[in-house]
Amino acid sequence: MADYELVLNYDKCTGCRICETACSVHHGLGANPERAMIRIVKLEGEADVVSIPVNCMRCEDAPCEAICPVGAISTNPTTGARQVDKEKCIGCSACVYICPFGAALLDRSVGNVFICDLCDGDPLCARLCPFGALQYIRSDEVSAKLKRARADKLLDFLKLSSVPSE
Amino acid sequence: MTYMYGGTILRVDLSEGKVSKEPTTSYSGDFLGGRGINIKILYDGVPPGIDPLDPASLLIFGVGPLCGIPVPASRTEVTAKSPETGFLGSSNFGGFFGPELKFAGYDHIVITGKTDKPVYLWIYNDDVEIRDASHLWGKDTYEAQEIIRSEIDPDAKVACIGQAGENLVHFATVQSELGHGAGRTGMGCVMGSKNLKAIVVRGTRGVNLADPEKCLNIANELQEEMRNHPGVQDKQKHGHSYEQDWWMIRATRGQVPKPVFSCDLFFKYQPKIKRTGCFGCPTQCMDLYPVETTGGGAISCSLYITPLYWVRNTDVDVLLKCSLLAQRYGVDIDSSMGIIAWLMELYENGLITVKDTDGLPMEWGSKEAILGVFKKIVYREGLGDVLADGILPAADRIGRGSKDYANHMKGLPLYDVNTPQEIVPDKGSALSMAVSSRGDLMKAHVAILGEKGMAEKVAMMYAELIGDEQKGVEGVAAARQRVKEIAGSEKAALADEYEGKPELAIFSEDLIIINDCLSACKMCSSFLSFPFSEEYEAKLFSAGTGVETSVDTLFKFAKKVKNLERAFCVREGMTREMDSLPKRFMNQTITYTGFDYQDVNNIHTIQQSAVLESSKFEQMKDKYYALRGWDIATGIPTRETLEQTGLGDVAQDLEKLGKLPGESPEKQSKTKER
Repeated sequence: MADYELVLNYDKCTGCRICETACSVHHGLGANPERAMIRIVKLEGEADVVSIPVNCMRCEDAPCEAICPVGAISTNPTTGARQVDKEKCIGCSACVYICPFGAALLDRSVGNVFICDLCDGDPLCARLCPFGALQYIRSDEVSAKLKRARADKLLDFLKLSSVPSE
Repeated sequence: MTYMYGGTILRVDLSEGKVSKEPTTSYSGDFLGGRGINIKILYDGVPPGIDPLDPASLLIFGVGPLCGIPVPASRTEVTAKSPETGFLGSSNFGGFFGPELKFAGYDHIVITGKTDKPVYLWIYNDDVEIRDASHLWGKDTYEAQEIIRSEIDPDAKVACIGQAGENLVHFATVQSELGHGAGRTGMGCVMGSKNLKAIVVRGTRGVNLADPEKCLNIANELQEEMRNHPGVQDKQKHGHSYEQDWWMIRATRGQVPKPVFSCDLFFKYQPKIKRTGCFGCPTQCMDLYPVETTGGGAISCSLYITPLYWVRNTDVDVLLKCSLLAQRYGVDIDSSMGIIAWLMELYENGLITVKDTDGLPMEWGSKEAILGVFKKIVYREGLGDVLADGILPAADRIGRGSKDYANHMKGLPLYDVNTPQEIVPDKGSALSMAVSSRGDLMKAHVAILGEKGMAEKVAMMYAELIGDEQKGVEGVAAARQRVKEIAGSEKAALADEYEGKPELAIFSEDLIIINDCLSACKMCSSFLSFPFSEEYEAKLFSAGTGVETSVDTLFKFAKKVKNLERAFCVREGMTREMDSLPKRFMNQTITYTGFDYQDVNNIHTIQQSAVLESSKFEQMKDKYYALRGWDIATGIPTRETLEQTGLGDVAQDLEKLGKLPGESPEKQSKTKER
């Protein structure tokens, strides 16, 4: 099991797209959010907007790894991220279609698939996110942190009750 | 291989229904990008004296080379001859439209002509179509964008007009998403005159960088500095509201008795407010209100100050409603409220009665008056039809000396808190406003520098926020030092001194031009003592394009752009006399409640007074023109200056029009009177 996880805190994302653009530049794909491995999906209503970060979820039982006909996809034992062997990849898109999150990207100009590699253990997106929507934290703390975030929200309601004075 | 630029200028002729393309490199070597290339295209592309709403008028959208990399540089500059002022129309908006345009491969869109029926432009990378927009006409900007997203592409980015633009209100805006707008000088009106409802763009190409790793490293450094800046952190928590509150109290010299945004009603909304903002920016300074009672939307910046201030209404619900409606309708809230306040003053002084205002009593602060007239303007109903042409034409129609009450600069109503109390004691702002290319402070904000200027306000405010008063003292000292370097004297930092203000005005104007050419956001720049400095801009530009460019070179571009903008305005009849302030600012002692914060441990109010003397004001102008290399008598760039900045052809143009300084009196007298 990997030591660290990239946690996506949906409620904190403001849709600034810094993560996407930095990812694409960092991976040598030009400044192009379309070719990033962290993507922000903007859901817009007439007078409201919600931004949702989408990333490879590093499934334990990875459908992409299973379906690849040439065994080009494996898992990095340290980071837990998917690894794509560019030599083996035939660009068939099977992994693109099977991923439940749409996290794989086939780049036809290059001829192989890109899947988030967590920048080999120091994800740039998490470093740059201004609002903590992307956090690279210890795996064994993820659950505790999410619980605490939930409890903090409830505190807003609990605070309303007055403390009796001495 | 094109580095950093999109590479293509898109030309759209709506009358012919034709589209053509030319390389941005035709212009970028001389005019850098964004606002700079926009004015060059406008100057070359329209004859002097053209009606802004003539089909042959140009409407130009432009982004700069820094747009599209992960930095706060998302701005799209909109340029045209202004229907509101008759001079340079110039306004920019942020959000995500600019980067998308860039990713599609374009730096500029130049629109000419006019269609018979409403249309929108659909751009998907190389493919450009002019499509029927009849089903969008009549919809407000929020509704129109919702329809476009569902019909075309949920990832498409849109710049569009609302009912105000369709109805040719002379101060209509171009809006994007919920809260981004090219707000001033009526760019939406020009768009509406072409029957162009929207520009819809989707770009998947991205931007190439000469040295991507270096560029990204610099961008990352900048992002970190911004994240660590207390001012950014404050805006990440409160949007502009805390800053505006602070600024309102201090800047208005006590005119606003109670902090507006600290009021209970506002804080009721606060927990529900979400953050939103622009591409590449960590601040996300805009407030997104998903609140049922007022209707949702995004608000920031002067949309917070203006509705309350000019019309003297302190009801937060009215503020939110006006701001959100202004964006839906696509109309300039500054001009609208300026005109409504003007009517209120006329009414107070008996120059107009309810007979003139379709039965609406124009009492100061009246909600009915504000919302009523606002809607009439947008739909050109009754009195609204007169007001929608702008404050000066309305004053001509109303007569009775109403023009003397109009708070305007070159036809553009004053905005924010630019009252005599604010401006008269701030000689730098007084000068900048007067000589501004557009008519207000946005393109010439000397208020950034010097005592009570934003740089010092920012230092003080953030010291207060982090509880470290020493930082405030240091920040003020650093700001003063900067002023001394720019203007050459310590006195220049003092707001109520005439000295050094021309130098500061020129510096801030040039700095803003650099930002506008590059697509960089002023709010993040050294303009307001934030980290996105000219040095960062030069470094990013160098790494991205592969062309080593210094800050000095950026300032050289700025001077060239400034001279061309001035030449354009002069061509349209701008004179030295028009570089002036309304009468109520001049030669009268203004008393106000000031704040003494020399001793940070003892900030207290004091009664102060100031006066702006005409003779000294004109002397500042003399110095400003001289430093700019413009003829002092006329405020027109000299042949020498034009040639030195690479605009020799412009000198010839002005000469042919008899406007080049130093020409014979007979030629000069042919100048059209405005």
